[in-house]
Amino acid sequence: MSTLLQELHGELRRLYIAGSDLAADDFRLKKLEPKLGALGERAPVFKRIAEGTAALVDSAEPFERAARLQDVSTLLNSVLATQGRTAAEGTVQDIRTDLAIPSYGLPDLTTDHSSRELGEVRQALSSSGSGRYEVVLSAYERGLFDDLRMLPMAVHALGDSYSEIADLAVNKIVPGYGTAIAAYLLKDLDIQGGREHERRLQVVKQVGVNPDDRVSLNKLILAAEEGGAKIVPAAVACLGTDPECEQRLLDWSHDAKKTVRESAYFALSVLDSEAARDRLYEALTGKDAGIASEAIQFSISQTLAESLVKLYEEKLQDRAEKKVNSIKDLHPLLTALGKVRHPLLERLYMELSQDLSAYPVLQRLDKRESGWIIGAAADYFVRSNTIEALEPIERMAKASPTLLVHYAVPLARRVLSPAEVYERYSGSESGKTRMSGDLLFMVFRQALYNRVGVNDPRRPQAEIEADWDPRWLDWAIDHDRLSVVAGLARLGNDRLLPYLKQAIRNHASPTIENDRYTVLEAVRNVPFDGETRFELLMQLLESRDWNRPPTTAYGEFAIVGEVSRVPVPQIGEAVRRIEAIMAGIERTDYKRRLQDTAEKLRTRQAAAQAESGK
Amino acid sequence: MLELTASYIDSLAPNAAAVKNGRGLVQKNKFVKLNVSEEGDLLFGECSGSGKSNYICSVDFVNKENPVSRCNCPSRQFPCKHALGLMYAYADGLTFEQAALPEDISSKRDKAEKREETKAKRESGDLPPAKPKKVNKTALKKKIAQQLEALDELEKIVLSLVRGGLGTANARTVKDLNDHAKRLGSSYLTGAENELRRLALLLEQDDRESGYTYAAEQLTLLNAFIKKGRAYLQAKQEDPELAPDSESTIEEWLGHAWQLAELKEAGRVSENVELLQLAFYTYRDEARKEFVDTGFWLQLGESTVHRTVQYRPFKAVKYMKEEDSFFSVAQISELYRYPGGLNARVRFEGMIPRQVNDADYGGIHAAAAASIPDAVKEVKNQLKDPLADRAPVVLLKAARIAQTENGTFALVDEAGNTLELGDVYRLPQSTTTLLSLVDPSLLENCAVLAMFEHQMDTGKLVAQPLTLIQGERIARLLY
Repeated sequence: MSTLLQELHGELRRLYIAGSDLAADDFRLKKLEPKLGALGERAPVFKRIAEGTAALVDSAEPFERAARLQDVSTLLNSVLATQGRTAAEGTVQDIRTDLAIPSYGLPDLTTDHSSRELGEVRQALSSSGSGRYEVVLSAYERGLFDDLRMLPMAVHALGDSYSEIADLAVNKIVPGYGTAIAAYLLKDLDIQGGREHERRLQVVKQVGVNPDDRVSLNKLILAAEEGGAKIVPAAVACLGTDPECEQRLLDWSHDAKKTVRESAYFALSVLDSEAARDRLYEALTGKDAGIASEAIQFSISQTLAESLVKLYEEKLQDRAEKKVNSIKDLHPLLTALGKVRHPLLERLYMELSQDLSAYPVLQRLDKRESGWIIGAAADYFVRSNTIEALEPIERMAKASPTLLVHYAVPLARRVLSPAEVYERYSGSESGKTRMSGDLLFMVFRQALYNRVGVNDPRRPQAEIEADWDPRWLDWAIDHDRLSVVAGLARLGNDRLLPYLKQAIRNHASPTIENDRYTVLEAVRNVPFDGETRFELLMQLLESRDWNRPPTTAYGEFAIVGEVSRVPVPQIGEAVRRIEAIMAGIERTDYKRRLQDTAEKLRTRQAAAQAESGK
Repeated sequence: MLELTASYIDSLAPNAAAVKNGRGLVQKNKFVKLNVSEEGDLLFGECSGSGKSNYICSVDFVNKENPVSRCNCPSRQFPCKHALGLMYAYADGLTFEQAALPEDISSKRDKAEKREETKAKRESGDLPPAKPKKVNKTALKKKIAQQLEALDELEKIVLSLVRGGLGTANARTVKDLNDHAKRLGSSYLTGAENELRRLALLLEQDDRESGYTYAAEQLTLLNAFIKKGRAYLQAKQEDPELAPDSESTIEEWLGHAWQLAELKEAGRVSENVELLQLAFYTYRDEARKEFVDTGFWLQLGESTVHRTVQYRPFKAVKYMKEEDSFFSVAQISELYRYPGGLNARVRFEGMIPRQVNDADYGGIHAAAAASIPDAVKEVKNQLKDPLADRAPVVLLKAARIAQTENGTFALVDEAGNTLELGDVYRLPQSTTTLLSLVDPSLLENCAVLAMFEHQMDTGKLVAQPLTLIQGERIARLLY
């Protein structure tokens, strides 16, 4: 019965598409009529349907036919709505107890975020336009992606057209769901897919595949064997967790495509079987050394590392054969061992720091190249984060002093107190390790200012005061380093103000134009009293030689701007002094700028007076 | 003592940005003054802005169901970020100094009280009603005549579309339909206007095959509407005194927006009701040119699932409060019920939130229909009326949720009956696939809130799961 009605519905739908004008004497409807008539005997409503259909086919007037079609359809739809099938097909007959839902074993995801919270992110991920990245990032930081309903959106974000969002999804959001997400990502993987599916595999590579999950592993093998150009290497890289893939991986490591070999090396380093290690050792000493070392640097096993350290030591000590003549021969080893922590490597670097001359290779390489090896050793010690590690670095610094700037001081600042850092490096009587003024200058340039471009803003005052011993300020004054003095400036040093005042008048200094800006930064950030701040600011303005041709010193804009914001009671004095400067200027552009500033100040003064008058 | 939770304050906010800005004010310490009245029912304070003088804002809880926010900032949103910030500051436990009630607030309170009094007196009959509602009979007759005429025209355009066939529909047809829809709107048939525009949208759809199926269904719906509407309007034309039909949805189809007073007059008010929201979603209705915020609420102690609907016209989105998911129980003194089927629309003016307790969870499970065939019967009974809501929502009890060999999800009841689960066309997003992501223990002995839809092309009545409830765990698959 219901199949007949469903068939009728199909025919009526056809007429809706083709137009009821074509319904006259429609033979397919006519064919249904006898059956409908028979059905009509069973219930009045069916009878009405049968009659309606007959009227539709037989009516002569086109508009009436349309009306008939509408009427019989309305009636039929009502009847069909009461006959909808609801039972799930396949389980109606017998409900087997094992029809459980395959669970991915995801962490218990919440659903207690509100529509508005999630709606914003959903909107950001399903549209295009600016400002979306910030929304997604902030959602990630607030943990919104721990919500069950966000998971499909997170996976969807892997294919986002804005690559920064996609990268965020690959590196942070999706791996955040843990290993369980791998099965979910692989289930719908399109092995001929594009960038989104490649990114899925990149996530799988990060989170790893459960070695017992054959379904996922087989999908990966399929993708690696038959996938598209981008999919194959991405899939190969994920197969390291499957011991059964050993032979396949070894074969792929000989593939003609570089990207496939690279992925195979990574997977082999995860697999870490004996054959895998042998193959990697072979690759690292052969033509593929470069790409193999890049591929395995984050996943290298201790066992493989051990054999590589031995090889490394051998090469460094290569005295007789003189095979190692360029850093190129050592570069793959440096890369492969770059993240390794191993007792053998520690011993090697310790011995190296004690006597660099014992390693003939270091003598044969030029200074820049040997610097890489020494740098690698220093880096190893820095990563140990202990006080003990300072000594070997300082020893090596005798040969290349910049190690102190880049490795020793940053490490010391992490493991020692500010006072201890001062005592160690300032060159005071008790200090063991002296640093030259120039080296310390490099240290401070990096530590006191955030690098942003032409004028680097000073780090926050509280941070500077907490991080640096106050005695450094005296040191900087003694060494006449204006930018360091300004950077370290803090209250409580009597020599500071006289020095600053004198230094900013010193036109002879070659860096004075830039240093003026650093002094301005100090004036802005150090909590001087109002009088001092005003005086310093005015002197900064006055000390500039306004008749000199323009330079690229943007600091001057900032100084003029700052002056126009001086507190109301000091406006009178500021205007008087600006006018005094103007009297001596010939250049009209500068004159005008100062004139503007004076105007601005007067306006503010007038406004303030009006306010107080009220 | 006033008790405020952050989530309650969130629910008062007009939109997510206001929440963020309000919190920002507290974090940035922008409040220069924080006061609470001696009775503890008024928060007031001053908040510094970019200008010289501070904004003076207050939130009045004298009527707990309907806190009133006031502020002298120029924002058109209520509550503004300053009032929200004031409440967040209170919820965060910042110190509020006790102070006397400001004069302007107390005078405003007096005025409001007076208004209430007069209103109460009018209702009790102590005072004559404000203005006896006069029905301008000639105007009404004219309006009905215009509506009838518009119905005739609608019938004409529908029939000519049926004659020509959907297959011949092109951009021109779509434009004509939209133009015609506009005319319907100006002839007081806004309900028909929306449905005709919906038809036009279906014809524009990329997936033409499914578009045809739904367009054909939409045409029959318009047919049913024309017939019923005409009969109803003709009856009204003969007797203009006839009160609006408060039992069926025909008034709404014709474009009538029920006033709360009308509903009250028709006796469609329940008193002291507790509602618990089980699902919520917001979608863009292009046909209505409005955002629609829909909530499904269980009336505690009963088994009815009500629906709240808020329409936010695209043009007014900035100034209207966006409704949101609500996780507490809403205690409502007067619940206005619209005419409708299984999930008739409800409205309430104010409510007091309270935490969900064990008894409430028990109530959910008690309200769930134990037998699939019984629930389906009720659903089908509604669906056979072409003008009834096409997507009824029912709370069902599930012994478990399982999957068939071909991957289809199914709900299985105590007696072993199955119900196929799948995504319905009328919801903006898919939820069924999420079932494989929830904690599997949730899928046994649970209650499921599901939306039904009859799919004409397959002849299936499919249910889409919206929310799973097990014990005290609620997993909202929608929002």
